[in-house]
Amino acid sequence: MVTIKNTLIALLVVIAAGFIAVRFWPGDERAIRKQLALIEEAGSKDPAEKPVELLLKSRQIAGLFNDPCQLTVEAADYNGVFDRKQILDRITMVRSSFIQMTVELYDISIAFPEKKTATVSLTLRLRSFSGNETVAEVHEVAATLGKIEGDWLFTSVRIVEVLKR
Amino acid sequence: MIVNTLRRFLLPNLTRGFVVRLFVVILAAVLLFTQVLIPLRIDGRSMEPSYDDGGFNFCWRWRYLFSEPKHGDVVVIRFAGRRVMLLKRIVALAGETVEFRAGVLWINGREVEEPYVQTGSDWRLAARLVEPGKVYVVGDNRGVPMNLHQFGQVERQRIIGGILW
Repeated sequence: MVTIKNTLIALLVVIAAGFIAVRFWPGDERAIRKQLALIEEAGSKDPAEKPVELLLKSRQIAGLFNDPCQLTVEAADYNGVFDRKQILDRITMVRSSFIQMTVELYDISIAFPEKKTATVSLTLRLRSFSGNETVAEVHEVAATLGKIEGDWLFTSVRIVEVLKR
Repeated sequence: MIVNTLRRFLLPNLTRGFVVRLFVVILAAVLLFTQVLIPLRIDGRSMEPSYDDGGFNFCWRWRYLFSEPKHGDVVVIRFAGRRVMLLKRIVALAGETVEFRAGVLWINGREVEEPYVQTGSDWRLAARLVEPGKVYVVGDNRGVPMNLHQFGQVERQRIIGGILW
């Protein structure tokens, strides 16, 4: 019998099924979101982190970048191409210079302009403590990823200059 | 009678009228709090003492619907989206020059009185011109070192509204 109650329940079931399908269906966007989640997890640092853990996490992050990868920092007027070893060294250096670090990514939007190419736009929130000062920064990041040998890897990363001094 | 009214209010019958009213209320709330008044939780000390860390406010999206931003306005600036935004005060408009001399703000070569700044500052910044289509924004808390404070000129389009109070 079609009642309002039954209609509402059916509507809720359809919405829940749709949400689950979108959220958990395997695909390129989900694979990229997984990579970004890894950046948040491995980028963040606990004060009790051991040196081995520091290196392992830095390696995990560096493994997400193509070899080579183009990095642009608009505020510093910097543009360069780095190989994976250089990226690993920089990540390790930055992570070891802070006692505690939190990396959070917000407002992630992913588009696929071509097959095996994705563009990502997001807001990066970085909070770190070096022992004598706390740094809190927010940046807009625009990145390009390529599907290389089955993995989505960053081919270019640009830190957008939102506030220009 | 009061008990019955209360029971009807808390446990309403799923009538067609109730479902329609519920839908309208949800739709109105979603539209209001995503398009007109965006809830903000202030996280950070860059606007102290005007806006304290942990405070709550709303971004009034229609603030600049019929007017342009002006000196002294506190505005909300977006990055890649609306999950993380900056709260800053406009100190200069396009075509004006901005300068800090021993912590004091100078606009177009004239010293500006800023009653909202309560902390002493040693900021020094050479004079620079605000580009067309941009405004210059700074936080009220000048007690922090200049290199740790995010400020500068920002595109007008990135201002998504003003603060409600």
